[in-house]
Amino acid sequence: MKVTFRKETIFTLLMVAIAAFVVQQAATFPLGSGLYPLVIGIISLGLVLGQLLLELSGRAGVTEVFDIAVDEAAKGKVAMRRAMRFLAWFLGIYVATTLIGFQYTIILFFILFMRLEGHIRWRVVLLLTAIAAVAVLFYMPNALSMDWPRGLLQNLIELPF
Amino acid sequence: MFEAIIEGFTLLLDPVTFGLLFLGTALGMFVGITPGVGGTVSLAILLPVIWGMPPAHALPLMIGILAVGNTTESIPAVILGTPLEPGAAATALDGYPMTKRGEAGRALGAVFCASMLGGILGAIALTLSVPIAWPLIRQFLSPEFFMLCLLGVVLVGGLTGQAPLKGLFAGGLGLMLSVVGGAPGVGHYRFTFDLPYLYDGIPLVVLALGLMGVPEMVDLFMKGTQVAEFPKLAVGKGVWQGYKDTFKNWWLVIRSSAIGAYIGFAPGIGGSAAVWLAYSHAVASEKNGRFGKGDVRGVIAPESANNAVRGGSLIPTLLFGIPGTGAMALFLMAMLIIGINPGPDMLTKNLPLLYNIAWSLVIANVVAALVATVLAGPIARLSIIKIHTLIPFVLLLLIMGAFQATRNWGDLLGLFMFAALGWTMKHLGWPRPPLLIGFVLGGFADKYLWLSVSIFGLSWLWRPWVLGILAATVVSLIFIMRRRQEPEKVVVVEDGTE
Repeated sequence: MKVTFRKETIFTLLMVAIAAFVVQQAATFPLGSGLYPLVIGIISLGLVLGQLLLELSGRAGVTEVFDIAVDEAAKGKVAMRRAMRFLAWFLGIYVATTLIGFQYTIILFFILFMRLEGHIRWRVVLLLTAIAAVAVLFYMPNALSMDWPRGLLQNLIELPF
Repeated sequence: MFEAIIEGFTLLLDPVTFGLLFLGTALGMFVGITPGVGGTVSLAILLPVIWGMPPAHALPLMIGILAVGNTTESIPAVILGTPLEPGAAATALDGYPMTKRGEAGRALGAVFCASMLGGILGAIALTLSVPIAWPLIRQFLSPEFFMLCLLGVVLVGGLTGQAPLKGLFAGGLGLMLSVVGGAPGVGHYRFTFDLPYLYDGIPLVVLALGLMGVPEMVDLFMKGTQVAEFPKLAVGKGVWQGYKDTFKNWWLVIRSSAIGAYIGFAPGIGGSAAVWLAYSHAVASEKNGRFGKGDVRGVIAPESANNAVRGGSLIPTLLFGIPGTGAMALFLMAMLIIGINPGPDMLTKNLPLLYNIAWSLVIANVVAALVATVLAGPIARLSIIKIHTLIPFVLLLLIMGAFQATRNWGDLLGLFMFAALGWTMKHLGWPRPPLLIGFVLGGFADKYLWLSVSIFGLSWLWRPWVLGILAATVVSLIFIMRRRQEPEKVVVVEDGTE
């Protein structure tokens, strides 16, 4: 049998590893808590091994699944670079949150994202940022009792928000 | 009974009562588009307000809030492909492609009309259930519910065109993720890696927003344009076409609503499961479908089911005092606060109040559909706004929704991890809906299996309904696996496109 290995198969292998881990761990649990994960783990492992076999034998083909289809414009190298940039923004929000707290991070993110990525006019940027600021600083903490993640800044200085 | 139905309606004719119903409906619509604030949170906030209110005032207010959140929660799913609540995820599958085609108005019309009809049918189910509820309740116990959970995962796992193994495994992955946390009935924690955050399991909202919500934002950013690919001035038009589509598919509305009402009736399962089961039912039963590519029936089925859940979930709460969900538990508590005892009393001395609730459900759903329809045009125009102004707001809502789950950094990290998983699955052609439904049903399946074994030993396997549902599961599996052998047919739909 000719073995076909495509980079997509790495994900399938990861899924095999997860199912195998569940089976291995569940086998060590007491029967009362381990039976259910053991059974679903074994069935899942069987299913994903079947899929792996299909992929390695080159019989998986291109299949359509019921999910939101990936846009043609969201494929290719340029789109992938943009995806990495989004990842950077996303992680940036988290890193900034640990430093200055979530509410100030969001205000900063609104300004930087709209200016640097969208080249939106300052007037619009400031208006939309003001709306977001009212929401995260006043409305959500009061109406929904939101207690945003705090950062180093909040631990060092007593701030009104 | 007829007199009680009329009396239940006349209670709503009081201007204050009607005003409170309208206020509750408006609040419910607002809550629907606020991520992470479901019926449970809004009812909890409302509890101090209803203290001392007469039942005829408090009930419409609460029903208004509970009834219509499902109608508006689907708006972000249709316009941005980003469901902010788990119950709206199925609607995104076809609603979002319609928006991209410039048919946002039509999709929203279908959402509002199907939601309204689903809500009304749920109320009718509540009304009709009075004489037949007890025998049904007695038939289905934990073994039957366990089997229904498995059937649900298999049905949605089979929604994978020609890749059944991928779909069924995705369902299995959802089941495995649902195992994280404390095991039911025994003092043992599974797959928690000694992290306290995982002791209560992975929060559904974190998984749903990460898996289905964030990946759409990433893809929009990758495209770098607005959502609608064919922006035109008529983007908000077609709302009435959505209404016509819904009435044209009246039989699908009834079947999907029945699924929703029944799932609502079953304790604990809730709307997230109902929408996927209704969607999978539509895919399996409707001919010439272009599901997943913008078929309006893919919007109608889950929306009908979603709103019918409320009527269904009120049946065990009101008639037996058994709340199936967190929101229903609070509703039960609120009823006690205003001096109403759920249970047999609802069928005798409180019968007019029972029908008052059913009427409130109907009116709240009609009012919500009308208000939302008036606003559909401006809402649909969001799809032609430059994406760089929308992404910050949507990302804020997604992060906020996730953080509402437990208000722990784990929510944010979980959101990121499931976003990465969801985006990878989407781009590699692994379906995400089965994972979501597997996760939702997995927790119940685990609990019901434990209850079944504890109560019945192994004899539960021979119960007639268990065998019946098992047979249905096996037949579904055979059908799913056989379908893979058949080449996909290209169908021509009415508008002439392939």
